[in-house]
Amino acid sequence: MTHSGGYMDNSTNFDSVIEKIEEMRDFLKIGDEIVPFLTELFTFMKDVMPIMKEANHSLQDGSQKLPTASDRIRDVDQTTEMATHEIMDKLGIISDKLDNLAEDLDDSKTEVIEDIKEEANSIIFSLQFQDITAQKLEHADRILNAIRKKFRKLSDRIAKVQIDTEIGKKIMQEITEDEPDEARKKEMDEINKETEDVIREGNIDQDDIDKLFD
Amino acid sequence: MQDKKVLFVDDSPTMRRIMVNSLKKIGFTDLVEAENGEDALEKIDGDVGLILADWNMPEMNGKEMVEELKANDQYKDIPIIMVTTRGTKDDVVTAVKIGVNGYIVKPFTPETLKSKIKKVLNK
Repeated sequence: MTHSGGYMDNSTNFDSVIEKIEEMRDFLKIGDEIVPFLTELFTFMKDVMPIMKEANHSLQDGSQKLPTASDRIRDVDQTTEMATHEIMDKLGIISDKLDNLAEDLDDSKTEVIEDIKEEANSIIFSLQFQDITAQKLEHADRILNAIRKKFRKLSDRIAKVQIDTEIGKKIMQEITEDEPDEARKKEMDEINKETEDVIREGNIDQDDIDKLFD
Repeated sequence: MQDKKVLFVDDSPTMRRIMVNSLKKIGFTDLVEAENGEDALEKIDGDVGLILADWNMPEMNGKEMVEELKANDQYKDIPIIMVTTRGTKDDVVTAVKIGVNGYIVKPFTPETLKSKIKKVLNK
């Protein structure tokens, strides 16, 4: 029994050693697989970080441009409404003048006057376009506001991200870095040029312009 | 027909001017303007015999206003014509369900407005 028991003990130790070796082999195998994986992961991070950085900057630039676009939409709406009402006022005056004119004319001419008034009235009806356009612009404005809200939310989330690891902190620092590099400066200049507001109503009157040519 | 008091509800000043012009041409003289549903509910009285209402309006929209009116015993029988840019089948079905009596999609012609008013008031 002792012999047999000793054999059993030796067998168990042997098995245990084999087991340990197998474990080490597995670990080494995992290590062999994990190194290329980690290398690939870091390469991926290296490629992705500039894109994330650019996305973050675009988010900030876009957020700054959206209120201007929204204001411009409201300006267009107000200007169109004002112009529409001016047209209506003028048509009203024309209609009144035609009524006065009709009082002194015979029936055959009155018919012509009525026709002209009818045409004026159809112009007034055509001005419904202002309300329809205004509603479409208002819809576009709502879309811009929704995008702006989403941008702001994303921006806030990026700013609030809590990173506990060193590498994580460095990644976030890189993505959220505010100092623009040359490429970004150039890109920002291009965007600003493309979206420049060239309509500056009321900044200079015609007399002042004429004086420059005297 | 023209002796009815007409309440028209639209947040667009342009549309309100067009309505005044058109309704006067049709022959209506007693006109009340409101900027939205809430304003309309404040201005309505027992003499109103026809309501023309936009759908998309701030504060209270046309649909909400119609629902309020149809739930009120004093005003539930006043004919209502919806005058709106919303022109899908679903919108019209919704309007019918809440009790709207006529439906005009903007832009419309004076003839359409006149014939719809006539149809609704003669029912």
